[in-house]
Amino acid sequence: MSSRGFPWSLLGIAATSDTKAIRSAYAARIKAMDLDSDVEGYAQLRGARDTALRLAKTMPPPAAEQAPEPGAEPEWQLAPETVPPPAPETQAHLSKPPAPPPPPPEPLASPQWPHAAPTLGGDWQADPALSARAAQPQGDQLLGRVSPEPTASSETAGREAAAPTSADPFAVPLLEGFENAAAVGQQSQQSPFARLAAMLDADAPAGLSPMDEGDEARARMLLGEVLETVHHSDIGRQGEMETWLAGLLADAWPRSAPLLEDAAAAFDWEREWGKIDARPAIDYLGARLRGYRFERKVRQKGHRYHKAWTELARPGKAGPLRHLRANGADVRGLLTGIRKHFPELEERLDARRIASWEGGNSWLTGTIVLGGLIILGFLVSLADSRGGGPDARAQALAATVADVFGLPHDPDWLRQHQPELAAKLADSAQFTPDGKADLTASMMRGLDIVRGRTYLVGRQLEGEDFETTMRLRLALLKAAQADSAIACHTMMTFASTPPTTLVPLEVRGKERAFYASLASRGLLKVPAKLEGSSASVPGVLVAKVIAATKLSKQEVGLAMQGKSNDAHRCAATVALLEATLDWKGEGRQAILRTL
Amino acid sequence: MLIGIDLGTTNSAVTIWREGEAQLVPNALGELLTPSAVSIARDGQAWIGTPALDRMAAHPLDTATSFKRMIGTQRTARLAGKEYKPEDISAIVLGALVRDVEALTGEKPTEAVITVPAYFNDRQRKATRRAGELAGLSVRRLINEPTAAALAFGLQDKGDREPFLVFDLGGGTFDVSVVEMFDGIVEVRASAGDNRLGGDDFDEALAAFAKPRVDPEGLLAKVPDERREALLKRAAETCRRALSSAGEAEFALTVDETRLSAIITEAEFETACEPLIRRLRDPVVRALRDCAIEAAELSDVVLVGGATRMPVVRKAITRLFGRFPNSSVHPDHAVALGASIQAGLVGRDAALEEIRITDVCPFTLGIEVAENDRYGGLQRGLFSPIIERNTPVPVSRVSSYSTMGDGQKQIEFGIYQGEAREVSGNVKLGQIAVPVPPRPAGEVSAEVRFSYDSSGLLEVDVHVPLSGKNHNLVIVDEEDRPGPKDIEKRRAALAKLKFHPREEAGNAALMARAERAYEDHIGEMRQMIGHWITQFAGALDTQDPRRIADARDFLTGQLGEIDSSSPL
Repeated sequence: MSSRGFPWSLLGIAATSDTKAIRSAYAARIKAMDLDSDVEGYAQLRGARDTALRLAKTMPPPAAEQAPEPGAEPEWQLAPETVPPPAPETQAHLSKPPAPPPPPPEPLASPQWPHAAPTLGGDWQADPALSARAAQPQGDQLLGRVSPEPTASSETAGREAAAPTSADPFAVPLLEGFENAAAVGQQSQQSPFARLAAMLDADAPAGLSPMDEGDEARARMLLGEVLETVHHSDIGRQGEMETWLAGLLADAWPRSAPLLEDAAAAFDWEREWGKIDARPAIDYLGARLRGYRFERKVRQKGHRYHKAWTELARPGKAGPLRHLRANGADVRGLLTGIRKHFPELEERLDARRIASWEGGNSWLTGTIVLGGLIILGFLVSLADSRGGGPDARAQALAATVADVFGLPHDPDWLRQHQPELAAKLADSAQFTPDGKADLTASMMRGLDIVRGRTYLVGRQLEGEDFETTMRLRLALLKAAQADSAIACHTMMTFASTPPTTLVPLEVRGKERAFYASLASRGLLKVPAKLEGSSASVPGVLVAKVIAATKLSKQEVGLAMQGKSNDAHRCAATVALLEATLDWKGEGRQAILRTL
Repeated sequence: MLIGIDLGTTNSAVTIWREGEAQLVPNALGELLTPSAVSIARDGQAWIGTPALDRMAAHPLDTATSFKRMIGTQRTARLAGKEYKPEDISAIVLGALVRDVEALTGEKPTEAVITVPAYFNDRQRKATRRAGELAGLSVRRLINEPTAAALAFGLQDKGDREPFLVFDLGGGTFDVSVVEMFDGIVEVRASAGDNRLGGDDFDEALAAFAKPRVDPEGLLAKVPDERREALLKRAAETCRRALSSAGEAEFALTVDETRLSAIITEAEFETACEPLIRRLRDPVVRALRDCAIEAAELSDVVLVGGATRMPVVRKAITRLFGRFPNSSVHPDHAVALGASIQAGLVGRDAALEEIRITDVCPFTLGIEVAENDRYGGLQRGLFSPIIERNTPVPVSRVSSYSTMGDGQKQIEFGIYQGEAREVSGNVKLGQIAVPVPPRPAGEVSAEVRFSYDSSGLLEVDVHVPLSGKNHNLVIVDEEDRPGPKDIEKRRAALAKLKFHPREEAGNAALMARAERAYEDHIGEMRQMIGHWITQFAGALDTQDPRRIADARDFLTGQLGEIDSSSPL
């Protein structure tokens, strides 16, 4: 009975493609509830309705009576990739930094700054660690689309990304009404759209070189005609033309530079710059235009950073007399400023000269100041909760539950046994920037939560549950150890594995069965406060650890007190855990509980 | 009793839900709309509505209008030498509306649903709520204006409606909402707006355009600021209204003994408004994009708000949507009527049993964070969203954050509302510090939960798993949130104001109108009006009802004649 599963169970109807029935069921349910006192219930109901409406679109029209097959859970058809457990190698490409509590050892770096993309060129894509940031891909898309000197791979990516907004004049027919003009192909009679596109075509002989005066005047005139048409169109057409023009100008940067001001003014793009949901092409153009304006200003004498700019733009290393030409504070101010706001401008400066300024003593003060700021302490965002409607959330939750607890477990089952955990997993769903569920990231995050919780809860349990908890801990620690000392340390401290750690499929299978068993008994509650504990380790175990780790007695002692480096501590912990599990002496449990 | 109030920038209105129907309540002068204007004389005598507007030209220093545009800010208005906060003045208007309801029903209302622009931020909402409290009303619910209008529109026939768009351009604010109705569920899909765009801006644009032409000799420069502004504003408003029904109109004002005037054509007005018209587009695009509905899919574009009467605005709307808008609801009444429908819903009225309304939170809410950048530096002041804009409310969401400094002992949470990537571009709602156990950087995490209720009020909870502690945070306004005592004190101060008894309100209004006519005219006509005023004042002094009635009829007739023959 597919009507049992989400979303139909929440709506109280059988699976149907009849949108009217879905909305009526939703209306009936919502009238029976008090939204303010049941916030979560409301969110779920909305999610259920939205999912149901979406599913209805994919279902065959109502031969509905015989349609639903037992076990043919329609929600799984949406996300088939969730059914098989993710093969370990997929984890190597996980797109999110690990979930809290641990922050990734690497800072959450540049991808927040999409305008930084072009300067990185192909390097960024080549580096798997960086391309793994695809969860925040504005920059990535842009990189492909507008990188000034695209590498072969980013060029192909660019073709795809740019497809709807390509500079190709044949893209023009997308704007209905212009198809004839574009198709005729007679230069003089073509629409201004097609002619402008032709002038800015990156593949044309002129390429992306700057326009000469005549070209510039012609391009401005054509843009004027385009904008005039835009002005007299309805909002839907305006939107299409805006997207088209933004894509065209972005693709043709820097050739399109003289046209940016007019286009930005016509569409009021300035309002969108710096907004969290700014469209990539428009955001990109905004950054370019601001950089362009800044560069023009800084090249004029009398600008505060003019001297610093001139100095840094000189080729070659700076000599010891550099301080006569520019003031160190200004150089730092300029570099900090352009790196934050107009990173591509750094290309206009000389790298060696920058290096000699940064290497010098004058840079030291800057570093100290920055260090001070870090110690003052602020927050780093771990969970990017951007995007995601309720249905995307529900989809993410369904995938997470299936992945963490194994099939056939579903969110309803979890809600029935562990409502709090279900809500927490729903909250931790991850989304792609366009609002769709990021299933892989959601599953990873959910798994981390359940892993951490199982460890905290399991070490307080007795008997078989305690044994299983500790054996799983050992298996996971070993997997982390095989990855890196940092991964192992993260696992020891937070009971959570970094995405780089490959957990063997066999261990994952055991994990699933155990987590499901704990959850069905309602044992995966919010863990009690974590208290420090200590136990004395008998000599026989210490000897086994020394034998297994090949460390000296002193090194083992330090490692067990947590005073050693990550690798030693990791090795000692794994060895001690393994030895203690096989040992039956007094105080066994106490020792295990400290590990 | 629970009443519905539309507290507008230009006009306010009050409604009650009675006998299964929303009804507008007339004020003491019999008008259904009370202009949002307050005038206070030195002796504490207060005028509200039309008479206050009439006093404006002669007593600009005593009179406040458009104070809704200042609500939620630190700005104050100075009336007759005393400082008033915008919510104080709003409370005076609300008080007048309360008395109107009392006069009609014989019962003093104690609770209200008040409408606010959808794009009002948290500070503006809180200030509006305070205004209600100051007027002695317990504010049961704040409802978004386009949502209220959608309720009124949707309940015209209670039928199902495909998504339609409410285009609400009022005196000071602009809202767009996409709404859908099915089986009695009125569902707001998305809202967007501009809380600094309204009819007032069109007046200002017109005044700025007309000023050099009307006053080439710079006479106005010699007039005190407040008075000049009041004169220009009123001339612009009159001219703008006239342009709604004619191809050209006179922009005229009287400075001392000189009458200045110029003819403004519709085309000139359109040019002057061009930048404002352009600003109408963005919120429409945002709202449609947020709910993924194409403009062509909309079943209707419903106009609300007085400023949508302007032909220049209608033209722009027709062009934007490629079709003619729907003006079947009364643009000035729809919001107020919707407010009392909401009041009926809150009061669980039987006639509304089958109706439910769901709204969205039109802003993104989040906290300030820092991140390491790729140069090893620290990017501070970044905005990390927790509740996305246009999420259905009520809603509760959690996000996790961790410490950035080794041994950090406390985490500071700056709470912001807005859409900018850097918090400096957003509205700060509050700030909370949470103590955490000192650990190496990144090892301490904190879960931040934002809960946003149906009235648009935010609650923040922070949970630190490591210490197991919960911190429930009441958001304190950036400006000091007044305690009950302070409210009491301000209420007492407002209570000292004197209002005209209801039976005399008509006389006071007529007197103010005559004074305005006196200001507007010069020469013989002015002397004549002055003479009538003296006569009328004399009649009032006798306290003889019959004489007063006679004098009132006479003066009303004369002023009516002047108005109808006036070139204005």
